[in-house]
Amino acid sequence: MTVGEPRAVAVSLTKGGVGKTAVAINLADRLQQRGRTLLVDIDPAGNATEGVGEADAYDLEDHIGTYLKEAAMADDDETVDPSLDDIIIEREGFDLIPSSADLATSESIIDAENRFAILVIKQQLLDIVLGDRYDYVVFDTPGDSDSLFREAAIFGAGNVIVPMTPAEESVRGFETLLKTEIVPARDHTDVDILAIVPNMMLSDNESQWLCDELNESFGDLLPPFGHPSLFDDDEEIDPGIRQRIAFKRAWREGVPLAEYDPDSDMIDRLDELADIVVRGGINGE
Amino acid sequence: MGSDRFSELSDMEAQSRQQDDDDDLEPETESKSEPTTSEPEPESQPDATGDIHETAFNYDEAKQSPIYARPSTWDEYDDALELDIERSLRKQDVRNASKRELHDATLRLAAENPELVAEKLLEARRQG
Repeated sequence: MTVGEPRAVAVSLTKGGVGKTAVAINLADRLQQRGRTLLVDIDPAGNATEGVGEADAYDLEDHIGTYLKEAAMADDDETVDPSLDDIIIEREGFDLIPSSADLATSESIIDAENRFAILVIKQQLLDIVLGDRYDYVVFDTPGDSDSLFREAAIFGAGNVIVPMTPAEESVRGFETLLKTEIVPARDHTDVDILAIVPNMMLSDNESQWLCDELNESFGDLLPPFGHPSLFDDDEEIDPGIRQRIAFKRAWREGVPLAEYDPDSDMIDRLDELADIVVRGGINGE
Repeated sequence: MGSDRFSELSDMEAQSRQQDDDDDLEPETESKSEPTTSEPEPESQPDATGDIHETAFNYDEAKQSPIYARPSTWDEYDDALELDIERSLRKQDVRNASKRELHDATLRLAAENPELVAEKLLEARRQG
């Protein structure tokens, strides 16, 4: 077990259905082997909350939205109700801050009432827990094009993992993420893309196309397990995080892949991804 | 078609990363300030001891603290920033002024003109 510098990372793409949740859950699970890890589900859809077996928490009255709303309005020495402890679920593996059915409501209130709403996750969550209570914090973010919490998570974490599927919509989602969030945020703070992960990959032409294009244009952000040369290597599994039914089944069982199927051939790759987060990039910071 | 798309995105990403890195570095004599071109700017030579094309201080050196003001005051301030202050800076070929530098300059202006600040406060009370 190696604990690197404390680090928060947002798993993000401005597009749904690219497997962000599976990457976020399993990244948190692998990071937990390396240090104390918190998974924060800021997607109002609550898929990560459900996928780690905490679906009941989705309907709780106190949640990350109510906490952030109260904390943002409180004076420095004022006690916040609900407190951070009230919304963190301590679990056997990594801890969880679950999503809520009411997340979107708090999000719009925070957005309307705070001039510095974009700083809310940094100031009210990460500045408090990262490096103290947790070594790693992973955000599962929504794919909607307009999401304060995703922007605030990217701004606060300063690190992004981008999962991309072999489909044109994925490229558009990446374009939107870069243009509307990452590039503008860089006017104010450091935002690093730690890795672009070819996700839900098959062995078809589209998958080959995605790997080739990423290798050509974003070679320094493509993890070794995503390199297109793996298509030609008979000894190796084809590149990327592969589309495996085990991901879906693990999610349905509410457990990470490594618990559902400890022999899965994707665990090594998820470990590699966790190491990239620990190092702060494919080749380190 | 795909290739162009990816390479455009790659350029956009790299340029903004470069800009970000420049912000973080201590001022260097040869670093560029214009994000949209890799050509050195002929006018971007320092004309005094410090280089006006480099940001004055890093994000890490700034302290974020809330300022409470009326929405109408914020609007006037934002308009002044956008319409007048940034235009004045552009005349000096400075296009990379960061929010932190603008806020820092605003606070210094107030700190250097305490009587004027008091006068403004009293003016608001009289009007209120």
